[in-house]
Amino acid sequence: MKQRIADLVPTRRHALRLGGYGLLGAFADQALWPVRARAAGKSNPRSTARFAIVIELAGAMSHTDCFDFKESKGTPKDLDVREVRSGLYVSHKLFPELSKEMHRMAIVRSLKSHEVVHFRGQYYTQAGRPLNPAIAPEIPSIGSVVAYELESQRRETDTFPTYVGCNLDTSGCGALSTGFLHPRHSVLDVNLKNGIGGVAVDGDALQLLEERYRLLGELDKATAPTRAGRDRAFAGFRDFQASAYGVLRDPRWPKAFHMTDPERERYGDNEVGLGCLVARNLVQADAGARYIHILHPDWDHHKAIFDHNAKSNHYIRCLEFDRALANLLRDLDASGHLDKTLVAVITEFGRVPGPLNGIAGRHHHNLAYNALFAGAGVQGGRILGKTDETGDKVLDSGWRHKSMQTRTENLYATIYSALGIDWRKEITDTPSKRSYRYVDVLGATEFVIDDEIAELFV
Amino acid sequence: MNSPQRTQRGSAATEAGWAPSRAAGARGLFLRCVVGVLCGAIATVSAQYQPAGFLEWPTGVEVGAVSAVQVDSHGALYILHRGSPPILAFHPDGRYRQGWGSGLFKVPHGLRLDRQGNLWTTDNGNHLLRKFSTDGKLLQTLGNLFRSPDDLVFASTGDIYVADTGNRRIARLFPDGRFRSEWRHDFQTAHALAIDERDRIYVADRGNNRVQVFEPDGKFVASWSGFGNPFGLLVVGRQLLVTEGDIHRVFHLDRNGDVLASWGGPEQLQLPHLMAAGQDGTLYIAEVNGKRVQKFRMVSEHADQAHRPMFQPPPDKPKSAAGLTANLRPAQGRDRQGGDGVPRRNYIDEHVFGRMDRDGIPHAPLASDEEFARRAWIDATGRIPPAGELVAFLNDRDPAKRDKLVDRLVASDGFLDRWTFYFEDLFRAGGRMGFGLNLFHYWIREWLRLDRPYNEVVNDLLTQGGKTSFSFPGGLYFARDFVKAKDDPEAPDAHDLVNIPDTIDEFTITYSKVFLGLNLACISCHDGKGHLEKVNQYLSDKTRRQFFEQAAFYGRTRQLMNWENGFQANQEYTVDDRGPGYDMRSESIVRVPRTGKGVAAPRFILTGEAPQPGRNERDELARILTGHPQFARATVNRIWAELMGFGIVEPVDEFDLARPDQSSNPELLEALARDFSGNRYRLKGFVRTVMKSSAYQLSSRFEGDWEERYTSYYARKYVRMLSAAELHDAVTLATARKAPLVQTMPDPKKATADAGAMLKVFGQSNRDDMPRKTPPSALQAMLLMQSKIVAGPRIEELVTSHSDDQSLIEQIYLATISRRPTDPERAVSLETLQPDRRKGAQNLQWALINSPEFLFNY
Repeated sequence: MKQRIADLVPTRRHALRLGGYGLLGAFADQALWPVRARAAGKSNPRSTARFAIVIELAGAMSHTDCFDFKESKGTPKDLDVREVRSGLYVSHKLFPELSKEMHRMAIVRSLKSHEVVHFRGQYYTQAGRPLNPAIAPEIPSIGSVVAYELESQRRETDTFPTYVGCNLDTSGCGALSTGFLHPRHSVLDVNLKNGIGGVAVDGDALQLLEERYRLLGELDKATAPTRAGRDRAFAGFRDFQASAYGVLRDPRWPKAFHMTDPERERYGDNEVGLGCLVARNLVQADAGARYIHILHPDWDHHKAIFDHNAKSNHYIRCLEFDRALANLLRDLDASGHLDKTLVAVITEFGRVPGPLNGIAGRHHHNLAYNALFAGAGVQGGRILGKTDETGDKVLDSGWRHKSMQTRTENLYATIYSALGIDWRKEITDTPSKRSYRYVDVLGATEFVIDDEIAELFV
Repeated sequence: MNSPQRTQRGSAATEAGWAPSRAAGARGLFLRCVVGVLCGAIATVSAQYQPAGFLEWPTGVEVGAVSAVQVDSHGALYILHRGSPPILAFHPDGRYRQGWGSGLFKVPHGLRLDRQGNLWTTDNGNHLLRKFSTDGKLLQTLGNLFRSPDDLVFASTGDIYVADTGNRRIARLFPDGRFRSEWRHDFQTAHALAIDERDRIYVADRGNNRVQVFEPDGKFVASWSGFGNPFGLLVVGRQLLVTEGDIHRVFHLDRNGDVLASWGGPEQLQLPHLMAAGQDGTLYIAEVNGKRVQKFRMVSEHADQAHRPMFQPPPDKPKSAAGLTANLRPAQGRDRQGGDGVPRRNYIDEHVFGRMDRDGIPHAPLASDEEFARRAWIDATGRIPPAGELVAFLNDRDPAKRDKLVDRLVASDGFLDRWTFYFEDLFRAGGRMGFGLNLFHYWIREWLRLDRPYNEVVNDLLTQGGKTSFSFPGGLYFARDFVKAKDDPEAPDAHDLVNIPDTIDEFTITYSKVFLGLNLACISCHDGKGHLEKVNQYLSDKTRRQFFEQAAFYGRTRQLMNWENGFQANQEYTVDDRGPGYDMRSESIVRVPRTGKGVAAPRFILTGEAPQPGRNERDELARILTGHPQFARATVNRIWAELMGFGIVEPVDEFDLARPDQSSNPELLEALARDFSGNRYRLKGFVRTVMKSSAYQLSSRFEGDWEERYTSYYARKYVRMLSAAELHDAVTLATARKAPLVQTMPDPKKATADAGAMLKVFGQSNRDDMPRKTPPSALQAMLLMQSKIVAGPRIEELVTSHSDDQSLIEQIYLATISRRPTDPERAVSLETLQPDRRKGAQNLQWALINSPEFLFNY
């Protein structure tokens, strides 16, 4: 289903392709994009986090079978649901580990999505606003905005890119580009299953690399006269090489991707498990990476959601996610990083509650769905918002804006706030001349309020 | 004057011979023959040399273009010409003595007597140097080192300096012929040499309009220009004589490179080439076009100064002026910005440069041969040029060589591979075609090979059908695009049924984009009005109903999964036209519900045309669509974008037909479309036309301040990174690693893991939902720096076969970045080869592969 919808708007894909490099070529220097920012209002970011880890459950998590549990005719009998705290029911079958960690987590139950299709939903999750094909080429991913904002805080010793992605290329829309921001704020997206980027360069290989890189520099100088008047692209790529080399040479890099068997076992040898493991390592290394976006694919259970024989079902996904997130939280806590790491679990929309559909699955549902938060001052155990008895509609928004459900835009405002970024900022000097607001209140067919979800913290 | 006076003979061509000068000791005569000219004094032109007749050819000799002449101390003449026999020897009195050399020469060029009295020749065609005795005996042959050597001179030490033109260098040999050293200095064509009493070497750098001067060890002294294009050189006393073959004149330069005198002209000289001077000061000039040797007598007004000592103190010229001359950058022979001098090759240039002229837009010069060659190879064949073919192209002097290269490349197998790959990306020929993928691949390749009219190809893509997708390649295009039906609770196992109306919608959007450049996605859900005014004015007037009517051309087309033995044959389907028609109220899984009544009647969205009654609707669709000018426009726009960097209309599938300003050059687009359709929609000819234009051949180098607004004029070549497949293939070819080129594979996903990683990181399309993209990222740089793919036997081969460091370096450069190294690059590269030559060479290739010159198509 995911891919069929994608073909619906292949031109949007094409539009996304132009990404951050305009017509002239792959690169341009800063001068081409002077980015003037201005605050559209006043926001007080709370700056409680040095790091942010976003775990995207791609395909859409079924909210009524997870953290807004509702028993219905569709609920299987083997979920072993228990009341973890007053009003909070969690399936121990699906979340054996997380059910022990619920005291760390806050749940937002009042989300509403603009989207109902995966491509658009996953774009929404990465860009923090709905897809607008007219200006899509210039829209950066949230991570790139974070990289742009936090660039001034990079230290001499920081070699890792600020924005690291895990498996983003498997997203319905791929890894989004930097849009109108400079390409150096691009995500370094590693596909852990294939091991890209995790290659260790050490010992002889490192020495050879150093030798060769030095030669590259000398040749660069020798060739410089022939490059006069050439495209900026040439210089641009050298910048990428410089930062790539910095990373490759840094001994902390292979260490971040070094996964022992016991650790793999503990976190789970799957996309989200390895992603969380790497995220933990990146946070603990504190070598420049500050925003990590992990994609856990394959939650789209239109059929056979609870069928144990199906190759992919809700049990499998939840168990993978459960083990990964629980260990991530525990490890970060043990190393003292959880207090300054905001962990957010985001999905593109929910799934139809109540009885299962004709193929024993659940279809898409955008009127109510969930997100989870932990770390960086989030009040664990807090539950924001309330749905009706089936989980179909939201009755209580759970935050100060009584008549507005929470949106992914607000989730990102919260993340910006935790990282110390002014989420009411807007950038006016875009190629289309349309102002880019960090929280785009008018980006969708329904108005969105540009506010963080402060109720998570206080 | 001590030497005997010679009477002026007439300039009759039939003069039998001439009186020899009386030998009174070579050196004394030489002194006496010095033309002493006070520096700075411009002598009156005609007083210097007077024509003194032509050499008479003996009967029985077939005279060809005369390339070179030499005269020995006795006055005996030797001629090298391109007739038969190529070497002719004459007695001092002018009588023919003997000829030899038939069959030994391909393109005889230079002729030189050495200090032992032996005669040397150079050959541009077989690259050999040959030494003969003056009675015709072959004494020595030197080859292997040279490429189209033009000339040679002998130093007082016996060292031989060779103008190794094809290798763009001066090679210095020991007297026995062994290689000693070499130097380069950005020679365009090192055409002729001269040597003075201090063994300084003068190089006629033809093509760069300059003469360059070097110390005997190759150290650069000066560069002189201001007299046109030097063909031949001769040191006569304190002067350097220069023949200018383009304008048929002779120039006299002093030791600072200043022009003292010039004479000649087309009436007197017919492409004067190489020269020689006799002991008595007679000047002999070989004339290529004239097929003759003409001699000129010096009429010296300054004969009384003949005995001045040869070695004068340097003339008293202001230092700055000398410096000026020495540091002048020669005219490159290429075009300056402003449009002048760029030849208008075809209608494309008229439109492109015409527009720039009108709007006063400066543009880049034409690309150099090196730039052009690499670019043409990549654009036409997706591959970097093989070093041998590249060098042959660069050395080729044929003025039509670029056109011929284009023809050759477009006719090659590489062209088929590269463009098959392009169309596979375009048609998303991926896994969803199932087992029909291979068929589809070879079908594309075959129609490209045959240069089938593209409208017929599109016809096939739109109209084919049959029982099994293994047998109708064209129909696979429709078949791969199905939308899965909602599962039927009555038939829980039938999970792969096709929702036909949704499938038809999808395919309508697909083919409209690909063949018409129109994006109908938006109106597939809702009317344009109220939504598209700011997006697409043309479509803002269209309705969803009209979309249904366009889709209705496929209204009766079905796509059915094949079942066999109770099981689905998952990748096999039937396509037929037995459906019920496009029901405007049918359920949609992926769109807002269809609201309408009844079955839509097909109407072509651009014109409202309906199919002819009684005709198959898809056949009619193909006829109407391919006959509409927008088909040609959209197609040429795509090909143009592929070759030039971006389309005249961008994005290429977002035409707004209500906005003529969307097109950066509507006249050009129309002209391209008319050319394409007028030539029966054949692709190869169109590609050739674009590649032969000057617009395509502009350099990416733009000196001056580039402004964004110049972009749409195509005022320079737009640099783009090699595509993922091109990059993989370029690495494979440069390193000679044993792996299939990705651009030859029907399914790039079948590449090895390492290759696949490179493809993914550099943005190869998955041919399903993600088009090809090359977003920049540090990950690309990381991968390339440590990819296992960057390794192969090429370096080992080169290290073994090239013991000379300079030529090893050159071969590495040619094989990797398809050009020769500049002098500074050479210096760095040489150092790298120490102490471990093999390792150094590997590192060098690695560094080149990680350079922009490799990664980009510029």
